[in-house]
Amino acid sequence: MIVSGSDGNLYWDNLEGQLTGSLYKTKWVSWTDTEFDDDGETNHEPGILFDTDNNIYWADVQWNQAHVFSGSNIIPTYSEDTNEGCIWVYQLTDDQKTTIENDAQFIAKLVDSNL
Amino acid sequence: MGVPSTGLLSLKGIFNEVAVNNYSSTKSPENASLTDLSDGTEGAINQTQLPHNRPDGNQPHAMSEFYAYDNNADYPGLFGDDWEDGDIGDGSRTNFHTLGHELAESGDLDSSELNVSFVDNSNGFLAPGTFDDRPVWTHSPSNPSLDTDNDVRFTNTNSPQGNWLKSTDWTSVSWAGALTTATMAFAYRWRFFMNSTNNKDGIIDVRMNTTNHPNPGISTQTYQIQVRDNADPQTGAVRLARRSSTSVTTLAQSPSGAYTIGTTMDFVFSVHEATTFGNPRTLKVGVGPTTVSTPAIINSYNKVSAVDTNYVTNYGWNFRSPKAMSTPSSTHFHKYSFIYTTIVTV
Repeated sequence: MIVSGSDGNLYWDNLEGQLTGSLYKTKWVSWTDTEFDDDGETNHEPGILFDTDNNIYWADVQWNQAHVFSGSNIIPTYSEDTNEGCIWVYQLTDDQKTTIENDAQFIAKLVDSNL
Repeated sequence: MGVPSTGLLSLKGIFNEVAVNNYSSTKSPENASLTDLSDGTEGAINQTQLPHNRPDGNQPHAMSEFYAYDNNADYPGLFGDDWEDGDIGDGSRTNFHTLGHELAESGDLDSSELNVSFVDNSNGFLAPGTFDDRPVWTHSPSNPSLDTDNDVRFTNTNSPQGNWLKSTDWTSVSWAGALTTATMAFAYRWRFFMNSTNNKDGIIDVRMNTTNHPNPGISTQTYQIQVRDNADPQTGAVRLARRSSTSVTTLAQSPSGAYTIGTTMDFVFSVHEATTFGNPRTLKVGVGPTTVSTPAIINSYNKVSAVDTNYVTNYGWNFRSPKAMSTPSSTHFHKYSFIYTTIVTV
């Protein structure tokens, strides 16, 4: 489903409107996980949903990486170079939206509701 | 040629299908016994055939039980194992002609669902060359092991890289090459159980190259499906991530409860190719009841969905658990009953 963002771009919602989604641009955070390997693995997570003090997600929500239209194709919004990207977050409460928009990793809200 | 699926059947034709793999053979048996044909006395019944397409071996016998039976057809999936031969994968395996597959045998799915779920695909791009053979697996030294139900069980270990079980004789399959329409999906289905007080996540690695990570159990490029345990605030959440060497980027995550810990549920990882917008590839994970068909889990029990085109060729499969799982191992484990891979219509 194609959704227009407040930045003028068109975004792809691959859940096709099955759930109410909001689109956010966020900085990404990295942390070292040693649960599965003592040598550690570097995990990359969307900053607005991740609690870096405890290395867990603070919000119990469904989300996925978002893609943006470039010409007639869709391309990833997440860039490892800038460590920024957009994510669709579904079924958010108003309180959760407020928390996200006050998060240090928050960059922009591009879509408040896809429906 | 197998037995017709409708119409009148001849006992001569059934005999010839069992005896020489050809229902239409002109051979004329002198003595053909329906009992001997049905119970395997005349020749072993091909267990790769779905239960509704072969005789059940029980009295009363009926010629109609042979509708659509094919004595020499291979298993209709691309890759699968249920370890029902009592071998975790490093010994001499018993083929599907002899034992069939648990997903088909257990009666979990009715005939119409099986017909949809088990789509025969003869591309032949997966080793070991015929779909009758079980895979070869390699596993970490201490465990996993098979339990008394022939399920693969992961328990506590002190190994710094945990435990793993990976397939090793799978050559490769290109998802883009195998899927020719947007209504097709490449589907991997497995049955999973995690104790409600397990305290360790479970991981599946969809291996997308053959270079070993420092951990010999996995490769440097994978799609990773993680099930969060009771110690995580999002118990039962499913995470889909992409690995590149030691860097793991989350693509999507479900809320808690996608998987209900302490229960046996079927997972389906499915791959979908689009034909528009630059042909993006969508990866989905569904978690549903054991009695629901694979297309239904994809369509009605989806938990996460992400677009990603970084990797396209699948080289194998890996089940994995971390070290330091809770004990005793009798009540703290991950369990996998089977895996089955096919192409379905959705």
